[in-house]
Amino acid sequence: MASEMSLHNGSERVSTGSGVLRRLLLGGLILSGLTLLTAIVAASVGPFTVPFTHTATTLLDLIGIGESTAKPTEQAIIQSIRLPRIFLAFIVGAALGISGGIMQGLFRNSMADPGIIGVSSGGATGAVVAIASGAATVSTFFLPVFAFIGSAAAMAVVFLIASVGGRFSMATLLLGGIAVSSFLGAITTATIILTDDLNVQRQIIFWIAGGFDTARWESVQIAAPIIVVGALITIFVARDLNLLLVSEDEARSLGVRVALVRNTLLISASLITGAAVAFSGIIAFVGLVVPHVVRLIAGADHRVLLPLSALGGGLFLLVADTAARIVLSPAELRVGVLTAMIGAPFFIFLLLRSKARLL
Amino acid sequence: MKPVVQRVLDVDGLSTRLDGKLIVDSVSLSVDRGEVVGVVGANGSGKTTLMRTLAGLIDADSGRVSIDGDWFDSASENRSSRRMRARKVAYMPQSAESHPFSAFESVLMGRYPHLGRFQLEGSADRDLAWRAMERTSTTEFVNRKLDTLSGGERQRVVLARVLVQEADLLLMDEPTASLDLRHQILTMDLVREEVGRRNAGAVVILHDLSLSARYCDRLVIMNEGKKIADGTPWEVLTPGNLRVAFGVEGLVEPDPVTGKPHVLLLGSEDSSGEELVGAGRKVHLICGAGSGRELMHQLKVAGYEVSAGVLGTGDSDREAAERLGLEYVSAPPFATISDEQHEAHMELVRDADHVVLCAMAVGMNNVRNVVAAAGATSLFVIEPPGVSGESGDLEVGDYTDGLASGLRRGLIEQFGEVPESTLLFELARAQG
Amino acid sequence: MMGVRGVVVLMVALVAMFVVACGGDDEVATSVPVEPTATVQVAAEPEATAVPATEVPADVEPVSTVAVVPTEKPVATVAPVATKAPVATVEPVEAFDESRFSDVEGIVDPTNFGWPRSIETSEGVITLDAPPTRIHSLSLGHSEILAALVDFDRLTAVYSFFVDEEQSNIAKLSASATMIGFDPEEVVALEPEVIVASRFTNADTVALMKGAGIPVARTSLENSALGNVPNILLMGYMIGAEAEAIALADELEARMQFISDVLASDESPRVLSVSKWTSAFAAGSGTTEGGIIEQAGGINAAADSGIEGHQQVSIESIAAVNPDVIIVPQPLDGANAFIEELTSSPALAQVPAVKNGEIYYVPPRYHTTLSHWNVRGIERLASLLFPSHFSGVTFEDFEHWSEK
Repeated sequence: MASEMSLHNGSERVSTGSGVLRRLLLGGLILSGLTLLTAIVAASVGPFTVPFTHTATTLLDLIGIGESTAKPTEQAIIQSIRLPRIFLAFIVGAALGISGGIMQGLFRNSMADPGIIGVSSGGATGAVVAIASGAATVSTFFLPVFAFIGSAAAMAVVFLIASVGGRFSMATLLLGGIAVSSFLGAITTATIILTDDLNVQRQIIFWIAGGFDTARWESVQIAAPIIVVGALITIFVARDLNLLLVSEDEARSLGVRVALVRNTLLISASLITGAAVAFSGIIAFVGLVVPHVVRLIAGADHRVLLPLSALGGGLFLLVADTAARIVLSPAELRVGVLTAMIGAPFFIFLLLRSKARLL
Repeated sequence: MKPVVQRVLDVDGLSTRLDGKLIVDSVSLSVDRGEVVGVVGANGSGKTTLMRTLAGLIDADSGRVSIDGDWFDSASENRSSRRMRARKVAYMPQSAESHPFSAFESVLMGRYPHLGRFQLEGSADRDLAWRAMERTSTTEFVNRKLDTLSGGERQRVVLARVLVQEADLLLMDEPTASLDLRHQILTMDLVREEVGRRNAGAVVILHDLSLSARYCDRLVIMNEGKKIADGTPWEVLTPGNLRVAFGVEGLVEPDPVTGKPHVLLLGSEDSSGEELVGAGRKVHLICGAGSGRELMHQLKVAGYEVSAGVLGTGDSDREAAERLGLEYVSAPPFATISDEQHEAHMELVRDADHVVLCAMAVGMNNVRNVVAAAGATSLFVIEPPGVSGESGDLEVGDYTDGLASGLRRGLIEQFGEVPESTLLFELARAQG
Repeated sequence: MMGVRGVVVLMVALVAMFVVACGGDDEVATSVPVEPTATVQVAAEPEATAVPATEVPADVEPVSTVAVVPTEKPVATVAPVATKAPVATVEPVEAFDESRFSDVEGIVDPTNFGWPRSIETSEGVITLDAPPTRIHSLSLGHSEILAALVDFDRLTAVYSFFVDEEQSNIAKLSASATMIGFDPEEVVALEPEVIVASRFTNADTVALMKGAGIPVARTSLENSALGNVPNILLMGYMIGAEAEAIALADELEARMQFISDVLASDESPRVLSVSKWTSAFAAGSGTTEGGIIEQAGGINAAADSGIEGHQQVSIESIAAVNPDVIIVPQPLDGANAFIEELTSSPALAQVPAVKNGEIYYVPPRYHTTLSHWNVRGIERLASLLFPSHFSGVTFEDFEHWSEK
C-alpha cells in the first residue's frame, strides 16, 4: 500500500514537471503575450512620430473597436508601412525558428540551421538571377518568386544527391547541402564580382543582407500561407521527430514511418525557409539560436519545441527589426546586424548559465 | 477478439543480405509465449542482423517472419503493418543513443505505437512509465537528459522504454552490454519476470554464455550467419559447439547454485599471453561420486592435463570427466574394479606428475582406487570436507570395514593431507 | 557550420554594402579600382532631365550637345539666352600665371616649370622627365579631370563603368578608348609612364603598380566643388597642362561664384537625396550628393535629420524627414520605379515634396562622381530649386580637351 502511494506520487511529480500540454500552453501564452506587446510597441514607434493614442485608436479601429483619431498620414504609416512589416518580420522569424528546430532535430546537431541543405543559398542564387537578368525590375514579385524557386531547386538537387543509389543518407544530405551551398555561394559571388553593373552589385548585396524595409501587405499575403501551412504540417509530425532524434532504428521499431516523416519534415522546413528567404533575404542566427534557447528552457520534445520556436523566432525577429528601425532613426540598421548583436550575447549567456548549472 | 497464439515468433528460412553479402543464412526459429530464447555466437556471426531483420529494421532477402500469427514479408513502410508490429514487438538496440530528452520522456516514447497522432500521453501512460522506471531503478534520474547519463544508465532507461511498450515479443540486442554485474542480473531477472507476467516471448542476444544459460529456456547458436544449434542450454552448450562457434575450448559445468550450465572458457589456443600454471603437467584424480568434479574444473582451467579413474558409469564425476573431455578409466556401475581396469588405472597414476586422492566414499567395489594411489610418486590426499578442524573422521564414507581408512591413513602419514581449497596452491608449490 | 558561414557571409556582405553605400562618394574599395558607376545601361537617357515625379522625360536630347537648355521646370517662354553662364576662354597653352601653382600642395618646387619635375602625394615623391603621354587613371573622377586637360588619347585605357552614360561624364570619349579589366597585369602591360589613383583605390593594387616600377600619384578627390581646384592644378602641373588646369579651375570658380551670387539671399528648401538599391538609401552629411544640395542653395534634409553618410531609410523615415524636394540620383530605370513608389505611398501623401510633385530624377553622373562635373549637378539642382532665378540662364557642359 505504501509503495503504491509513493508510486503515484512519483508519477505525478514527473508529470507536472514535463507535461507537454502544460509547457506548450504556458510557453505559448508567454510568447504570444510578449509578441502582442512588442507588436503594439513596434506599431507605435518609428522615425515618424505618431502620438500613442493615435496608434492605439488606429489599431483598435482595425479590429473593429471605436474609430481612429489619427491623421490620414499617421494612419497610412501605421497601416501600410508598420503593420505589414510587423507581420512579415513575425512570420519570417517563425519560419526560421521552426525550420531551425526541425533541422537540428533531423540532423541531431544543434549547430544545424534552416539553410543547412542549401535552401538559403538557393534562394540567394534565385534572387541574383532575378536581379542580374533584370527580371526584378519588371515586377516586384519576380524577386521573391525567383528566390523561392531557387530555394526549392537547391533542395531538390541536394535531395537527389542524398538519394543516389536508392538508399537515403542523412550524412550525404548534409555534405550535399554544404557542397551545393558552396557552389551556389560561388555563383552569387562570381555574379557580384564579374558584373560590370554596379546597380546589380548593390542590389544583390543589399538583398543578401536581408531586411524588412520593403515589406508590403502583398508580401505577407504570399509568404504567410506557405509558412503557416508548412508549419502546421511539421507540427503534425512533431511527435515522430522526437523518435527520429533518439535514433532511426528505435523510431522505426516504434512504428514511425521514417522515410515518410523525414521527407515531409525536410521538404516542409525547406519550403518555409525558402518562403522566408524570398521575402526577407538571408537573416542569420534566428534559426540557429531560437530553437536552441527554447530547448534549453522548455526541453527537447518537438511537440513543444516546434510551436514555441515558431513563436520565439517571430518574437525575436520582431524585436530585432523594431530595434533596427529605431536605433539610428531616421536611418535604419540591417536587421541581420541586430539579430546577431542581440542574439549572440543572449545565446552566450544561456550557454554559460546552463554550463554553470551542470558543473 | 483474436485468440492468443502460443507461438509468438515464427521465423522460416530467413536470409538477409547487407551490401550484397549474405549475413543471415536461412535461419528458422520460433519462440513461444513465456519463453526466453538466447542467441549466442561470435562477433560477426549475424546475431544483430538477424535481430534487426526480426525487428523490421532491414528487409529480409528471403524467408518469412510471423509475429503473433501474422506474417510480415518485409520491412515495408506500410502504415498499419508498421504500427501493428510496433505494438507487438519491442526492440532494444545494442547501444543506447545519447540525446537531449529526459529519461522520463524517453521512457514515455514507448507508448508511441499505442497513441493516436494528437493524443497526449495520459496519466495511465505516465504511471506505466514511472512503474517501468522503478523496475529498472532509473527513477533517480527521471528528469535528467539522456546525454548526461552513463552508457549503463542509458541502457536501463531504454529497458524501461521497452517495458512500457507492452509488447508480446521482446527483441533485445545485448541488453546487459554496458551494465555492471548487479544490473546484469537485475536486468535479466526483469526480462524473465516480464515474459512470465505478460505471457510474452523474448529473443535476447547475450555475450555471457553463463548468463544466457542461466536465463534462457533455449539457446540458439549462430555461426557465420547460420544457426548451428538450437535447444536447451544443456543441449547446445557443448565443448564441440563452443569450439565451432567461438573457436575456444570451454568447460560446461552445472552452476553450483542454479544447476544451469556454467561455461568456463579456457581461452583459445592462440590467445595464451601468459603460460598457465599447469601447462605441460599431468595430474591424475582418484575420485568418485562427485568428490572430484570441482577439482577437475579447477585443474583444467589452470591448464593441467587431467586424467581420472576409476569411475563407474552414472557417477557424476564420470559425467564431468566426459564433458571436460578427460582421459579416464571407467567401470560399470557399482561393479568391482577388475584387474584390467586397475592396470589401466595404474598406468594413468604412473604417468601423472601428481596424483590427487579425493575425499571420496569407498566401498569394496572401488577400494582398489585407494590402493592405486599408493603407486604415486607425488600424492596429495584431500581432507574430507564438512568437519573442519577435526581429523580422525576417516571412517566417514568408509564402507570397507576400515580397510580404506587404514590405507588412507598410511598414505596421509607418508604424503600429508591438504584441504581441497589449497590444492592448486600446493600443486604449484610442489613444482617449484 | 553553416551558421558560422552564414554569419561570415552576412558580415562580408554588410561590410561590402556599407562600402558600396559610401561608394556613392567615390570609388568602391573593392579589390578593383571601381568608381561608383557601372553598367552599360541603355544610354537613351538624355542630358540631365529632371522629371517631375512619374513622368519619364520625353524630350530626349543628344548628349553631345554642348549648350543645353535646362528643361527641368517647364518655363513658360522659351527665353532667349539672357545671361550666359561664365565659360572659361580656351587659350593657347603657352602663357599662364605661374603664381597659381605656388600654394598647390604636392608640387615639390613651385618655381620649376621645366622638366624633369617632381610631385609628392601620399605615395611619395615621383619625378617625371617629360610630359607623360601614357597616363593611366584608376579612378573615374581623375579621368574626368584629365579629359578636360589633355587629349584623351594620352590616357592609356578606361574601365567598363567609364562608358556608362548615366554615371560617367566621359562616356562618349571612353567608348572609343581601350577598355581593360581589373587585372593589375593589364595595367602594367599598357606601360604607363604615370598612374593616377584616388584614396579609394585598393592599396594592394597601388603597391603592385609601384612594385612594377611605375610611378603612382595618389590624390584624394573632394566632394565639394571648389575643393577639387588644387587637385586640378596638381594634375595639370604633373602632366604639363598648366594653362588648361588654370582655365578649368577658373571656370569652376566662376560658375560657383555665379550660383552663390544668385542665391545669396534666398530661403533654402529642404532637399532629400535618396536612391533605392533593393533598399532605400539617403545621402546624409559628408556625401557628394549632400554637398551638391548645399552648394545649390538647399538644406540637406537627411543631414538635418541626423543622418551621416549614406544610410538605409524606410518610407516612414522619408515621411519623418519630411523634405520639400526629393532628388533621386540613380539610373533612370530604378529611379522611375522608386519615384512611382514614393508618389503612390499613402504614408508620404502629406510630405511637401510628394504633395507638390517635387520629386526629381537627377543624372547620377553629376551627383555621384568626384570631379569638376559635380558643378553641373550644382547648377542643375540650383535651377531646379530656384527656377525663377535662373530662368533664361543656359548652363553648358564642361568641355573636354578634345572639344576645345
